[in-house]
Amino acid sequence: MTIPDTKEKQQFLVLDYLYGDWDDAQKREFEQLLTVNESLKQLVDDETRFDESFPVGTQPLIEQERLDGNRWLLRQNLQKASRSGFSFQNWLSGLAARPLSVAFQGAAMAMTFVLGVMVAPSDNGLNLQAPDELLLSAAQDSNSSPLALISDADFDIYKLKVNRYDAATGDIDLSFSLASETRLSGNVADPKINQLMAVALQDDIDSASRLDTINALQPVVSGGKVYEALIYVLTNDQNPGVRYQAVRSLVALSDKERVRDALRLALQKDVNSGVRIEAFNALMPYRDEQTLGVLRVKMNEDSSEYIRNQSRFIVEQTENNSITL
Amino acid sequence: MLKETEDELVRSAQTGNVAAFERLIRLLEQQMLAVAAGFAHTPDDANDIYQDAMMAAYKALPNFKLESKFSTWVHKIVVNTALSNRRKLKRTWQKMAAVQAEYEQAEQYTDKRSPELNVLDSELSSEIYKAMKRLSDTERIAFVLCHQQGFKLKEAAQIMSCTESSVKVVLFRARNKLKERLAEYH
Repeated sequence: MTIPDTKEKQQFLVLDYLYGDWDDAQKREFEQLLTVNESLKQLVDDETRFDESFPVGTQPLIEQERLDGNRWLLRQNLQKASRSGFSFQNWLSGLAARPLSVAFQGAAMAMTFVLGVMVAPSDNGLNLQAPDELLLSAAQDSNSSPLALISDADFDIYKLKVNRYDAATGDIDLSFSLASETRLSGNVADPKINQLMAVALQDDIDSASRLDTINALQPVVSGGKVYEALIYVLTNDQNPGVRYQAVRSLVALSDKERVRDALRLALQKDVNSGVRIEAFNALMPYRDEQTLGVLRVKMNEDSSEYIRNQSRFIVEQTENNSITL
Repeated sequence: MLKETEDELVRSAQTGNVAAFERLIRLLEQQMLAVAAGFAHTPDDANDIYQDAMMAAYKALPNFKLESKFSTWVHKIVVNTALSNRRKLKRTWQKMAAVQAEYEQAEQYTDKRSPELNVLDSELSSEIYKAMKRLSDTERIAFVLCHQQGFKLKEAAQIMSCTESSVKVVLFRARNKLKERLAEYH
């Protein structure tokens, strides 16, 4: 080991000594160098003094209660995710593990199908519609469906697969997927647009998009579908930043009982104190029995000192009848 | 945990076994929460980062290759989640952090390697918390990983997806800023 000539390189060598993957022999060799090089020794002493006041391993304290809370919450989230997620690969491997049961179920399904064809009246046979007709009828059924806003030109066909082809007769069996991307221009006050955005708030996987959507919906926040979507986001979104924006948007609508229910739920259950504080502040003017019930619990249990103190203050004042309900 | 047992649990979790995933992270959860707490503005933010990161890890698990260490991979996800949340939602996080900072207490620091689990003197703990907030994201990551969690430079480089030299540069800057800020304590 040689002593580097520049101070910067010496400092990096000291970092190697402190945090590097050195074995005992390398460390001893470095310590030997310290006895002959004063500037290097000074650097090490300087760093060591810092380490004495802020020792290696000093870190935020994670108490058991906090660990347990996170473990519980993660279990809930994982269970929710595993219920909603469907993996074709897992499904196939599950089937492969039970060949007898699969064979029996397959045979039963085939028999049911044959029986169905035999008993069905001949003029009421299979009435296959083309996919675009199905889509159109779906779109006509519901104006608020995103499908209503997609035109035929927006579709792309991909993953086209010939499942079966009979060269003699020309009969063919195809499967394909449809993908679509649509661009809409209009005003956020247009119900078609704001309702589409309200649906997207509950479906879009990108947090930043959900946040942008909430911001754009501010002028029409009192619209039925919009505030329902915001309530959904407040009580279900995984991202605290998005929940926080949702709670701030709902503050203006806290005169609605439905919104107050959501605010109370957020105050009770949200793990983020920023969200809880906003929900708490929005509920302050409404000192009904349901809200007071939540505050009675919060004044003892909330991790936020502000919520605990303010809840206690309101509950005690109300109980002393010094607040006009 | 034995490597074989870990590999078996990973394979099982990759097929969607939630219990196997929970067992895998049980040994790392305290450390990962402390890492998240090292980056976050408040304890609640740290909990959120941890939850988001664990959900991201669960979803990304089918892509995990058994050649690398599970703990390194999952720490990388914690770090990336903390960074991407902060970048994407910067303005909202700032507003939220301001609300939380107004009402909330800071993280308490403890010397994990001392024989008794010493909670630091509250004044020093609060100063460390404030000083950490002055660091840039990468300085904070390097310091949290190497100084607080005891990762070697090589492992920290893997987690941060950069070279060891880059880790040294930011770690050096972080230590200098902290030394300056905590001058009266050393």
